[in-house]
Amino acid sequence: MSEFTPAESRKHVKAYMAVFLALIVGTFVTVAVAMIPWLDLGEPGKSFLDYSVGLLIAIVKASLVALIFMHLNHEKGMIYKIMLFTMCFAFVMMFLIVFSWWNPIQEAFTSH
Amino acid sequence: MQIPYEVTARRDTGLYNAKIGIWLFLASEVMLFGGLFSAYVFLRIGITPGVDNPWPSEVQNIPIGFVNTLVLIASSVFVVLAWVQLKMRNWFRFQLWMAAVILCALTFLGLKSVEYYGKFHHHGLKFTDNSLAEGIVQEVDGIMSDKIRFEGKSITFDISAKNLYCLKAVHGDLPVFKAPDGAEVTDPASWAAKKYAADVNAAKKAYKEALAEEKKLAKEEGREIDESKLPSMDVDTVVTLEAAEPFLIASGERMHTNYTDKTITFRDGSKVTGSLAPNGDTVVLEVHEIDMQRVPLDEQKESMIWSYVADEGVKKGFFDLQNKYKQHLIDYYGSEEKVPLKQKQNHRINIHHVHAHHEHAEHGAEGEAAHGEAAHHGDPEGDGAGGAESSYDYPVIEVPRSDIKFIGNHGPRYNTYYAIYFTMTGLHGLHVIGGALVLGYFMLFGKKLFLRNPEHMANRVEVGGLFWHFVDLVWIFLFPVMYLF
Repeated sequence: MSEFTPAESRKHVKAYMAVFLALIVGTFVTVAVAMIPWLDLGEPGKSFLDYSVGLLIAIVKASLVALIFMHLNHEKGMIYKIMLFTMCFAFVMMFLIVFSWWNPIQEAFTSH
Repeated sequence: MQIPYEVTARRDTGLYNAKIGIWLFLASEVMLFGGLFSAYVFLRIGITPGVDNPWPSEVQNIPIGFVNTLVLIASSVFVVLAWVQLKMRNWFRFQLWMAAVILCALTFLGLKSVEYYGKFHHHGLKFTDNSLAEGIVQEVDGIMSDKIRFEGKSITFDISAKNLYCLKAVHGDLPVFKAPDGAEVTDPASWAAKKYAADVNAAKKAYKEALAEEKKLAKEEGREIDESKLPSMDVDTVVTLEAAEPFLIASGERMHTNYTDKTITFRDGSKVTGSLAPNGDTVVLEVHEIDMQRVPLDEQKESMIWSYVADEGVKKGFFDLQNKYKQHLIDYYGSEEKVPLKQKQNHRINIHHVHAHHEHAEHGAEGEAAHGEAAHHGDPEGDGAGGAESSYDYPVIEVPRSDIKFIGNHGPRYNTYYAIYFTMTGLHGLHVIGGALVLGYFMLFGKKLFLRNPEHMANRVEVGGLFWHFVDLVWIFLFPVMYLF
């Protein structure tokens, strides 16, 4: 990609601004779910439903950053291959902790 | 040497090399932060809430985290706008947007420093019955009162050791000491090093002389050398130095192993003899929060914390808020029996919420606890940092060590949560610093390259920008998991 035409530049900036707005709104919604009492979902206090909504919004926000700001919506195949490989490993790594349940450390959190 | 494919794409990958490079690097970064997030999940699900060490809820300063999130999001937009300006071949506007990015990075780091400062100056004091008072440790005679204050008269230490704890713990100037031979000692560390070297040399010399003598005798008498007749080369290394005048010791938790009224023994074995200062082991704490999550419900009213926080208004306010929260739980679950134990035990109350509740009650208004959140409302730690000048009337308590199970600031060693919090946000902060340095370099020193080959410069900024977006992306997850939920 070489020099932008003004039209191209306007198109880019428009997309970036839309994402910017979406990220700001997403952040406000996340904080609102965490802090405003009538938006307290599920059981009183923090519940599974609250965590899920918070993480879901975070995933949407992260996807927007990756797709638009990091240009993953129109990247070359090589990059997708690298990232697919990485995401597979990262996903498996998130579950490696399951093994620890079979051999727990006793009283690890009672030092004080 | 010309590096290939800086600007034009390689035919096989369709990309310029730096782009492949940064994505491979980001792949490794995904694994790095992924591992830490995995550790976070593991640590969090390993906690048994309300029993041993509940996962802290709402202990963060949410406004700071919130503003920092907005700041990072804005900086991400500014980076792509700067890149667009380079693509439009407008150097000046590129610099403007990039300056905005650097400003955002500095704001982020500044707010993070405020947050960290608040944590390091906010203490938790756990009583022997597991009730917890949190707040600001006060100074006594210019010394933080979580340190043991001790009036020393002499020091006993090993002259072969270095970095003596008994000297490190001296508050103020070192006094003049008197050596066993009567000499004046102003710098015990170098005096000890010299004495040790001299003693070892003297012992070696004595041994050599005795060995020569023994060899001579053995030859004359026609026998083997009798080693039992030779002197030992061991040097007596423990010495005691008397101080010309009493000196003050201020010893933190990690300095000493134990103390009595007469001596304090440090971790390296060195000792100070003298006397414990009046109330020298009493901690003075301005209480900002009271946490009862580890005290059984039916013992909370008789908890030892109330013998220190003697303000009846605070006690009443605490239990009023607790009852309101309890009622809220009963309303939600239908009956008291159906309320899960972990919900019942969730009682960490900020003193200023107790005050606020009082004011509401006095005016006949509905207290803020009615919604059920306030009963375990946390402290923003930043509030802790500026707590001393706050308008709230925080109780100040004086607690002897015999009633304290643990005292520490909210640093990484405070509990599992703070350990992983500092690890992850600290590593993220380092990434912000690294990214800001690289992007700042492009902004200040990139013009030459821009004039020579503007597309090359744009590619560099795109690559730097990709890293910056990744840093933002990590924060998008850190903010909810560390601050909100």
